[in-house]
Amino acid sequence: MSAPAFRDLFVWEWRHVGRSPLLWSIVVILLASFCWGALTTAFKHNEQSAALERARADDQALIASTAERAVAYRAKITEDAGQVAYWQDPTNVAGYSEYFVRRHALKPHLPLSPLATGVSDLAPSRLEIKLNTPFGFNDTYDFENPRGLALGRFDFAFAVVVLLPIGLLLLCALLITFERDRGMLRLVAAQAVGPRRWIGARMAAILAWFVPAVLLAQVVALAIAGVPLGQVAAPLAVSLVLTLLYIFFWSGIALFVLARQPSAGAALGMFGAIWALLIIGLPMAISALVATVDPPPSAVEYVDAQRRVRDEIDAERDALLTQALGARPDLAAHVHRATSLDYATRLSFLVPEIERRLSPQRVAMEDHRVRQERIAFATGFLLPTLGIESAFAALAGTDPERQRRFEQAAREYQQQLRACVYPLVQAEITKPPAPPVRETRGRLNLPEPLDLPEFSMTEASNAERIRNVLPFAFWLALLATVTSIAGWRRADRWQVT
Amino acid sequence: MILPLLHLEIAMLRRDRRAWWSLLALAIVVVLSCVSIAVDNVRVDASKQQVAAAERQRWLGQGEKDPHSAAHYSIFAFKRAPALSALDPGGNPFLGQTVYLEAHHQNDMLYRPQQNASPLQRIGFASPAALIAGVAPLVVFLLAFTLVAQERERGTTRLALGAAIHPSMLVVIKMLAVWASTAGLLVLPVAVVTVGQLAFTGQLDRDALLRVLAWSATFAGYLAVLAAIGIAISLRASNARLAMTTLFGVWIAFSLALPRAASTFVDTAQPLPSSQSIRQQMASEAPAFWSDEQGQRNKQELLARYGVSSLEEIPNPRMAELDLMERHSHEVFDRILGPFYDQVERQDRWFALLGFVSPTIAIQAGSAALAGTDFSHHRHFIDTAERYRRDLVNRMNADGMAHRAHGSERHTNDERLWSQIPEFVYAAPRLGTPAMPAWPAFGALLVWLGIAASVLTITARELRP
Repeated sequence: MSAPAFRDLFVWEWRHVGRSPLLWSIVVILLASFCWGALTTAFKHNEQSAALERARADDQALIASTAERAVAYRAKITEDAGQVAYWQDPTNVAGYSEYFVRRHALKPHLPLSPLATGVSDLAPSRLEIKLNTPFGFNDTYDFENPRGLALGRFDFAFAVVVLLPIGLLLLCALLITFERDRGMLRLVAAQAVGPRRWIGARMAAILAWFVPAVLLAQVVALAIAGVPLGQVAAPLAVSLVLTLLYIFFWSGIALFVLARQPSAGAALGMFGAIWALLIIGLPMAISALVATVDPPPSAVEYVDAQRRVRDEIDAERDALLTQALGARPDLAAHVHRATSLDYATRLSFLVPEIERRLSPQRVAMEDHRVRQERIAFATGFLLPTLGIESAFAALAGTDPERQRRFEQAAREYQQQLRACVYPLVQAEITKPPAPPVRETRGRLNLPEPLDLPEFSMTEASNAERIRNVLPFAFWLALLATVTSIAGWRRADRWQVT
Repeated sequence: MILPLLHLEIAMLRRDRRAWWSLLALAIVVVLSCVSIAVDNVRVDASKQQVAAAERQRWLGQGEKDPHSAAHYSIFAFKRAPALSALDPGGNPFLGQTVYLEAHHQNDMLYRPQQNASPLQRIGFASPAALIAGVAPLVVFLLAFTLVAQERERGTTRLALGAAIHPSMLVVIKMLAVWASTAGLLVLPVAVVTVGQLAFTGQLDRDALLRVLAWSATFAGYLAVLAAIGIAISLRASNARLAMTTLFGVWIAFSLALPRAASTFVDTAQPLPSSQSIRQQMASEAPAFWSDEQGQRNKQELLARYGVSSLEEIPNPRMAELDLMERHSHEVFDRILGPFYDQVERQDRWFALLGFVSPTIAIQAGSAALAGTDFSHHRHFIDTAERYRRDLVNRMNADGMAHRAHGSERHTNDERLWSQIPEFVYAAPRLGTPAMPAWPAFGALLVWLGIAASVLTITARELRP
């Protein structure tokens, strides 16, 4: 008796599996999960984009009202309209610098953002930039319900990372163990077909239906969520490849377990254990280990340090200002004015000093954050569940690295604004002090508000984003190959007695 | 009669190494997560206490200054980890730990522990409550499957039913065996660890003990629901394969898909206004630095309020204006932030109501409420800190208003005034004190218990030797 060809077995299995209600139930549930995840993430991101637009409009409104006031305060003083206080006067360069220079740094969502929530529910996409806020901006966030943050969002990445393997494993466990549980495995074993060819053909048949259905579901879900597919063809294609490799990785694990032809109960128990290990156990263990070895710098101690440094600066204020003015060739001749400077002008010297004194803590916090990102990236190779989630976030533009670059750009933007405004504020020290009584309502040492630069951030191109996830994609392909080969080799004999 | 049989069933469970070792592994992970969170809380709380004491000293020692400047200097208030957060940190990792209580601003609470969490830190964070709610169903079902479906497959159930035992007794014993094993290994140890931690840190009072008991009882009830469902499905399924598949499906639905889906649904159906629009509204209606035009309106209001025709007749017009704007800001903050926080609580109430869809949702909502780590407890801290801030700022402004200061004159004060402000001390609300949005979750759990008991009873009645 000659063994049936793999092709014949595959065609027979393919037809058989295609008629399985279980297959289509799982595909429909996954499609619904993908759509729900992508839609709710798109909804959230649309709300955030609307908030960014409001912030932009708010900036424009402030610029317009500042210009309006600057014109109005050129008027002569009357009995009803007196001299405007310096902190209300945009024509006073010092008051302008502290109370009228406020711009937003905005991080828009990328077109493929519904692919993964990433850090978009946790990290701010809008930072208020003022000249004298140490290190660019205050610690801030957009409030989200903490219950939702703790549970995690049901986003597209969750559906792929967590639910897709469960669907696939359930399908494999129930379709491949059918004969074993019905007591028919002996009959199959009695035929001229080896376990490798038999299990392999059925697994291939399952994947032949499952893979295109899942990939199509992914495209449909993202299209329904409003992703402009044409614009994001390249990263979308890479995300599809990643999903494909992720399916192959889990099918390799399924093959490895099912190679010994267990019952459905035993297979599901084993799958449950592997799934829990990869999704919960190992991330928890590695995270706990990392937290023990490299604990985060204390935010509470940072608050303490800020307060101490500010007190020190207050106590040393006059000496620091005298020293700062004395060290500047253009201001040295005016060092006697160090103790009579207004609040905003003082800040232009003192805030950089606050930053200098707090920089060790700040650098430690930033370094820790970068280290944690690197560890998470490396751990992604050990835990494909984490790796694929991170890769999706990178393609979606919701990854921690883009967030960090945005925050760096926000800080650089503040420096840019300071470079425009501080010299004008400090130049006033060299000019004669303002007379106690003047003719105009405004000080008019800044006749018109400055035309300050807009925030801009250098975005990584699609090619760079793709390049960043390629190492993981290759690794996942390797893992999928290794697990599949291991499973194939393991299915070397019928487990019937 | 029951005890020896129970003992026997537990012994049978222990013989199945796969199921029993899964339970033991989960129990170890649950205890480790509890200890890890408790140790971290103790460390961070000690640091908070230390810095809070330093803040008090800084406040008292700030020297002589204008009282309004003192109100700007103010203090940072720190929120200690809730007593039971080692059992269930709830939303605390995503909530700020400290708030700056300065004049003119109701600031956000800052420095959320998970603010800059890497993806690994975020997915790797697990608490006893999250593990028991999410993973225990799988283990409970595995135990129930082992005790019922496999026995039935082997034919031993038929033998047992044939012996002179009433079928319902057999079912109850099996359910009790699964429940006792899981509750004993998953809930009891962490409850003991938490009581020990509370005693060690001097937080063990009647309320904390009551909360631990209520939390443990609620989780024991949850495990009873799961055990009953597991046993009933295993008994009713026509074969072991179908039983395992159904149990697997129930676990996925109850514990993995529905909680996240429900949470996302609630947050999407009843979205919060963005913080950006809230802050923008607050800043435009109650600015910390107001325009000259607003200053003119303030002047008219002060003249009317004091019944005078000139600011010269007001002892300290600058401070009076600051007080006017400060009190105006209180009204604005209450009007804008109040409904915002109400909406957060409304979302939580809806989530708790969805506990009728899955017992895991019910336990997740109920657990955080009992542990004092849900948003309603956090809001209690926010409100307490804000009341303290307003009292402090009002007191400072009042001192300024009581002293004459015109033109370049400045009234100052010193430690005699600063020490009149009591130290900020926060006492968490007692169990049941805040309007807990999670109440529907407890109703849902009771309904689930009723359903599970009914299904088990019907299944037991239908069981024939």
